[in-house]
Amino acid sequence: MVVITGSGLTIEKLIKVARFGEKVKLHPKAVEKINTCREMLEKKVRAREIMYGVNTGIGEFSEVVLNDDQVKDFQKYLIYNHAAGIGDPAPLEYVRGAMLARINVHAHGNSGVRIEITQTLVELLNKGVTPFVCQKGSVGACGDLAPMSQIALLMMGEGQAYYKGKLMPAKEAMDKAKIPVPGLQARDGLATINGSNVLTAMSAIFLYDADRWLKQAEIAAAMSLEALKANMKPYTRLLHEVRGFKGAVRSAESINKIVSGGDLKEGRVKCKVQDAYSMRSTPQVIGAAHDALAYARSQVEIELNGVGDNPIFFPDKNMQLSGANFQGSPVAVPMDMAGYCITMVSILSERRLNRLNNPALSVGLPAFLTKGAGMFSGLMLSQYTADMQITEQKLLSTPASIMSIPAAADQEDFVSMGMNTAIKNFQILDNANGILGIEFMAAAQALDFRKEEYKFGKGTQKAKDVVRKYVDFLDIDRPLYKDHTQMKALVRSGEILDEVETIVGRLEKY
Amino acid sequence: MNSFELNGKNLDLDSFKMIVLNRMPVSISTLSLKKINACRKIVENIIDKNIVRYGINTGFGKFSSVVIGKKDTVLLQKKIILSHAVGVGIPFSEEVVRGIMLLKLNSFLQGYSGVRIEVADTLIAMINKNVIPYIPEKGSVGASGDLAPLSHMALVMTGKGKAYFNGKLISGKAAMNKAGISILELRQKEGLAILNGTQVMTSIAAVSLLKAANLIKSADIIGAMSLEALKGSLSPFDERIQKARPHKGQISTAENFLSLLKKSEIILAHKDCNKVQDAYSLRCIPQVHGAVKDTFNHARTVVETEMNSVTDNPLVFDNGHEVISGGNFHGEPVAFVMDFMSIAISELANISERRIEYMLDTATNDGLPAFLTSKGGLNSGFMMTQVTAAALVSENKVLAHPASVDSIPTSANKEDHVSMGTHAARKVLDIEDNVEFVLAIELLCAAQSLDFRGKDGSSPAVKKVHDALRSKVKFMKNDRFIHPDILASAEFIRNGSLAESAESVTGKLKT
Repeated sequence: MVVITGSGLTIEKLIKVARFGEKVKLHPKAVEKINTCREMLEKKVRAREIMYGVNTGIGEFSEVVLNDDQVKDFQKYLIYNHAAGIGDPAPLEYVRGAMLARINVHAHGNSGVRIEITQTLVELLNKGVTPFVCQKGSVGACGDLAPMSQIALLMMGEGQAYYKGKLMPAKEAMDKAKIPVPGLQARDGLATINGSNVLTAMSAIFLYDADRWLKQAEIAAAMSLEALKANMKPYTRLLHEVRGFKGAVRSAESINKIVSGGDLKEGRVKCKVQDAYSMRSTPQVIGAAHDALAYARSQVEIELNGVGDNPIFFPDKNMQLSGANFQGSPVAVPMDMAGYCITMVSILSERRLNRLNNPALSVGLPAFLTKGAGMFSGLMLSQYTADMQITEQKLLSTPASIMSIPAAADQEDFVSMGMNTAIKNFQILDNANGILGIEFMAAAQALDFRKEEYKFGKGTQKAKDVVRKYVDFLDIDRPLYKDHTQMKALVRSGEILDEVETIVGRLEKY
Repeated sequence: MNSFELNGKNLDLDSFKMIVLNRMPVSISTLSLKKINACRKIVENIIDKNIVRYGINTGFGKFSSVVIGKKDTVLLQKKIILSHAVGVGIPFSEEVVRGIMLLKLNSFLQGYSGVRIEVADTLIAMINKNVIPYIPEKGSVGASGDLAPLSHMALVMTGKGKAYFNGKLISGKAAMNKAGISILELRQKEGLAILNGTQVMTSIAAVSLLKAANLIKSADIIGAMSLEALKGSLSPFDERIQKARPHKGQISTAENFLSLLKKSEIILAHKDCNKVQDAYSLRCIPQVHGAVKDTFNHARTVVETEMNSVTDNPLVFDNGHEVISGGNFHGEPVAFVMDFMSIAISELANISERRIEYMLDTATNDGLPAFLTSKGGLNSGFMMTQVTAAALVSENKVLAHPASVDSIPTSANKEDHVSMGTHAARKVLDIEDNVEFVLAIELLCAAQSLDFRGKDGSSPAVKKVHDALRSKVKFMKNDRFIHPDILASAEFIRNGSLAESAESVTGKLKT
């Protein structure tokens, strides 16, 4: 059970709720704050105070004041006209993550929303009703208006939702799950949609998956290093401590753990004085990605626990302020960086794959890792598959946060495009799974050629064993697409990581 | 010296080169003179009769609905030039500015712009006496044409701004006085006619294409040397293969290689060796260099069309009082082909860098010493030249990102889609500088390799090039300060010596 207070929402907690279905509960203090704020708002409404988005139009129409009759209809039309997304549905975990993030915004008691709305979001999470949300349509400011509106449709019993694996009208899903429809009153609509919660939830999920991917990149690197008879001195902790980047220390130590217990680490295998950069600078490169992801995580967690809404109400000061806390840039900028870091580490992986394949570089391994050169081409074409995915990653690594296009008759004339960042980051990671899978496969193949010669590290041996559960040694050529696809799925599942960590301990602990 | 008689439709890259780079004087045809005068009469008639027409007696852009009274129409011309002379950065090169003046002059000759003959005469005099306006290179979004940079040219025409004359930067007025050119007072329509148009991006495009032509030819010559140096096979250049995939550039490239490597003993000696296939950077030269040639020729067609176009706005036509406002100033056609050229020319260096690597690495270079130096270890030889090439190639990849897909609305959204063609063209020049250096490095490596192989076996064309290079850059026996060698090699390419020495044996190579 995750208790929601407005603070302390970490990426791990979000994953538990969004991906693994953990239940949530509003802390009684949060309920109290939400109610206090709502009381202030209602007082102001009764006093006919003009408040943006409560009794005015929105965006360019913010100067249009609405009368009492119009206020309620306005909430409905606001949600209708903002439910303007397009395309394939977003994965359920993104939508669940966004709802959780929105609840945590409300929990601060600065949004002026009715408690019924927040409680409905809680119910939707706990009873597994997930709104149908189109993936595309948000420019990342004012928040994720279009996708959040598809969540808000449910507050009126409209739209569509998934329930027990089926897509159905939202009303039907809510009836089946016994969730009452709360309806939208003044302010409720905007308070449900005005925040960059979808892109933030997606970013949180990405960072979780990317961290696990980076750990697997270290395992694959360690396997390749052992297969290539690397000089292991560059992984000495001291070397990285004197430079002082945390990520590099962590990465060097991870690799040390994985190879420990093997002949190479113990100095029983002859190696070169200096290896190529793709081997020797692995801790510096993967470490840089760890550091970048750590920064991105800190920004995303600030956003997860902040009030990303507009306007914002301060009941203790009897005041409301209209600003731009929905602007997605604080998340978009570090996430652009996080995305291209995954590309960078993928490039490093491909270079090691090249060294395993190329007999001029592989210290005695057979060319393209096959014994039957000429008749067989071994893993020659696997490199092509890795390469085209990397080129696609490079294209996807152009930052989205510099791509603003003015919207809303130039009232919203700078937007974050953080949703584009979030979407393309998952595309980068999807390719990264494919690329790393190929390195794992090549490294396992190379290690099989070495296994009579020397003993591998404990982590390396375990990783190879897991790979061999799914992909056999390539003795004679066979269609490789199945192996590539199988390996990609294996990397996505994280099984190699989990198995290795049970033997060598958590990789991020150093 | 003879002069080149312009008629508004007879410019091409060759005549551009003669006038802009070789400083051939220009004149205009009698027919053009008549057309300019006839068109101006229509404009004067409109003014006399107080007919309201955009650009003649109205404000500009978003202010096009503001009517300007008769007494203010001359003042309006002064103001438009002053207000549009924005822009920042270092000045354009002399050749780009000469090209801008030439293209602007040529665009007036079809008689649709409504300027007086004095305006054309002023440009003719500035070109022939080499008065070079100081024009900052940044500030155009490439629609409505190159407003800001062209305004700087207009400033000098009207005795303001700054200009280079006899190599010195002085005030525009002083430059015009020293050159003996009378200062122009602009009348109605003339300010707009001068500063509205794509002449800046088109001039840069033309200069870049002239440079590209030399690079494309040089890449073939240097590639042929590398093929010898690496004992590559000439079979992939067999005519039959190209005919089966008849892209013109591919066929030309293969033909170039066959004549460059004619009678090469190195190539003949291993005709039947056991190496069946070379790496792509050798084997696919016809396909890659060929595609670059095809792109170049496409870009050339577009740019030559633009050189003979009228790209100001509005245009004055002779039946009745027709002044038609359109969008001929929009630089998209040039922007697209310049973006495409960025990609194509970058590829010449991408593949060249691979051949450099191939020559340096003992795993691939077929018996040459590592990094092309004896006493490797004490000497590092050409190790770092590949690093330089890699840095340049990487920079090009960033520069090859298309400019034309960007657009930022300007002028209160009246000009809400612009071409960005001027910086598309500018970055081609940057890319070309990098490519020239990469090819210069390949040339040094190939020559060094051939010295190790014993150059007597080279084809007559390669031998000629090799000797010519060696009169500028000596064989590198021991490590030395290598930077001057790269500069000398680049200069050897840039000034055409490389192409000249090869073509003295092969006859004209194809582009």
